[in-house]
Amino acid sequence: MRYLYVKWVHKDPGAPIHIYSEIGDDSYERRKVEIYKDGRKGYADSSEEYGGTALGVMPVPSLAEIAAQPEFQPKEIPAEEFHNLWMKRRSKA
Amino acid sequence: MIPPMKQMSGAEMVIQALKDHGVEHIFGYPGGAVLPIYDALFAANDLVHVLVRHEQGAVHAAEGYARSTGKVGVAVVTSGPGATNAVTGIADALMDSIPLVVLSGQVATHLIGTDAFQECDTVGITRPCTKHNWLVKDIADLPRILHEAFQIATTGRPGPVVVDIPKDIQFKKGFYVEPDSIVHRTYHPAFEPDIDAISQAVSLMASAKRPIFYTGGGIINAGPAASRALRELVELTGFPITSTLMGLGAYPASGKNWLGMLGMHGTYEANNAMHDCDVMICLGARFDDRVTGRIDAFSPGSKKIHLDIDPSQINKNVRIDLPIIADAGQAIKAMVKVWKQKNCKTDKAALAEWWAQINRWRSKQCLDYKQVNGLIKPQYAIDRLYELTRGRDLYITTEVGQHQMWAAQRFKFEEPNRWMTSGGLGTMGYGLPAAVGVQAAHPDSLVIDIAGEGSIQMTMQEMSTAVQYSLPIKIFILNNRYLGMVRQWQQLLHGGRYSHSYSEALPDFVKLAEAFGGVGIRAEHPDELDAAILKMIDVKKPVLFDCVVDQKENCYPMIPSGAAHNEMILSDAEEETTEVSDAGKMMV
Repeated sequence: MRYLYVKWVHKDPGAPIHIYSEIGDDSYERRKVEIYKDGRKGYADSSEEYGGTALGVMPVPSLAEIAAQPEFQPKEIPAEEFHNLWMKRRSKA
Repeated sequence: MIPPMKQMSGAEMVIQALKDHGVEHIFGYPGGAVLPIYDALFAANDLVHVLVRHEQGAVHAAEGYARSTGKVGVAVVTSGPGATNAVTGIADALMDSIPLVVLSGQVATHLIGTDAFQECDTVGITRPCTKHNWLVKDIADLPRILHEAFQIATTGRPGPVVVDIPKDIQFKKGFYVEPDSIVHRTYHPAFEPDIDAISQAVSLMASAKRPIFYTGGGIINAGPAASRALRELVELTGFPITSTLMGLGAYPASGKNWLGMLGMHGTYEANNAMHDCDVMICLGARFDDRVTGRIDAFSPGSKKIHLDIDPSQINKNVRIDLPIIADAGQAIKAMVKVWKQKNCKTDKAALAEWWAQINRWRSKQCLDYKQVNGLIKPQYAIDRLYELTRGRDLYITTEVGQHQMWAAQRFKFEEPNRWMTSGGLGTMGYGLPAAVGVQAAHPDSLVIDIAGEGSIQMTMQEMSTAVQYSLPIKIFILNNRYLGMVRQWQQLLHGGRYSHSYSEALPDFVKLAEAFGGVGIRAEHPDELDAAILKMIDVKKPVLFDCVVDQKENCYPMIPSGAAHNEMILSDAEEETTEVSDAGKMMV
């Protein structure tokens, strides 16, 4: 399992600006939290989709491939950071 | 590799297992036989415990939580009355395939069988209403049983399980093993479909002239991906689609192929299409009596495909031509894939004629009702509630009765997991505690329990739970002073003898709400309804909304007891001329 944070630089209020993903050994997303500019959150796992967030249907590309696109700023994050965010995903704060 | 083992008490094992299975919320009520678990819970800051007011409420809240999140619901109850109070909720979850883990305390092992204080035979009492249950007699078995409990509740056909844990086992020390260390020897439910069966099903579908998708709660249980696959399959084929009460939201009500709900209070077009179809594709539903009506007249001319994850459902009530045992999502995805691979084409001329017939049935406008000046019609109240909450992040629960059917008919669900109702057991009192569970999972969402004044009094005490945890649920009561569905059947079947179905005395729901620490709102006239509903939505506290409605309104359309799908009645005028057979009266 690995954990990824991607900052998405754009001006579309309908798209998230912070994307946190838990990625399985097969490179598919297991859990995901997205945060919008207005603070709104979306999240998804295999049983639940909320706020317009869904797990990707394709394997997640490598960090280098994501970083090659100028609007994305990805980095690996510790599991604990993702878990803490996941536990708070249902609250606005 | 030797699995990691840690020594801890039985109570600590329970908490550790909850964490290991990703549990975030539990609903419970402490008592003597579960005090060690509650003691361990005291230090578990990352588990949210919701203290209910009655154990039935704990289980319904766990059901609401599970149904709205797709995750397992967890309830903790004490021995004896704690366990027996939970039975209604457990039976409800079994009938509606809701994944629950219910942990009950039991008297110490040396006291079992001595009629000890608060002792009862919990595994005996819950055996027929659980998917599986266990009495833990040895601390060495506890971690395995806990992990099995989660596996069995959530896989295959989901359902409730009970783990009965004697108090001395909660105190004893033992070695905890991680969930991954446990592999069940015999329990391996089907998940992937047989590809030959899928291929046959797709061929049958492509040859159909009058097809229909009959869908159910199995698609909701299979997760959001199953609903997406269903939408794609309907789009690919262009077939009409209907759903059971439990399946609402899997396909969007705004979808052009949507016929509305089927069954006893389903739409005229859905039921007639079920009766006259030539190929019925049942996806995650179980041919229950509210859906089939008279079984020997049920869809007599159709070939029937039945997709179900539970093999015991095949040929149980209706003879099936082509069974598929699999997870609904996996099977529907496979149908989509095979349909595309085979480049299947439908019989367009036949399908156009089928849709023309369906549109003739639709033109009956079977959900219309007569508005009367000065009275709030219950249908009008539901319509206004729907319009004024439309587009919001909304979850609906219901109690059981007329209001439940009006809500199912008139609320238009676009997404799965937004509709929580007691379908199989028909449990009055489900909706309020279920709303507590939904709101705990979705604290910022609008959660409304559409209720009747009869049902709501069965679990009213959970208003106090909502107030304690600042869960701003809205209880929208259609108050006709009658046990409305009972009154309707008494009118139809028992010569208008309204035996004990009228409530001479009712609480003042506005004052009652205030007594609980919530907010009470009443509407008695159609002109004041919109403003009152908007006020209810804006209040950030639990609300009891007393909507005083026409006392004598009946719920139509309706398949009379013992009748077939094509023998629906649409209004009171037709009902007066409809004879109900003795066999039909027995089916109510």
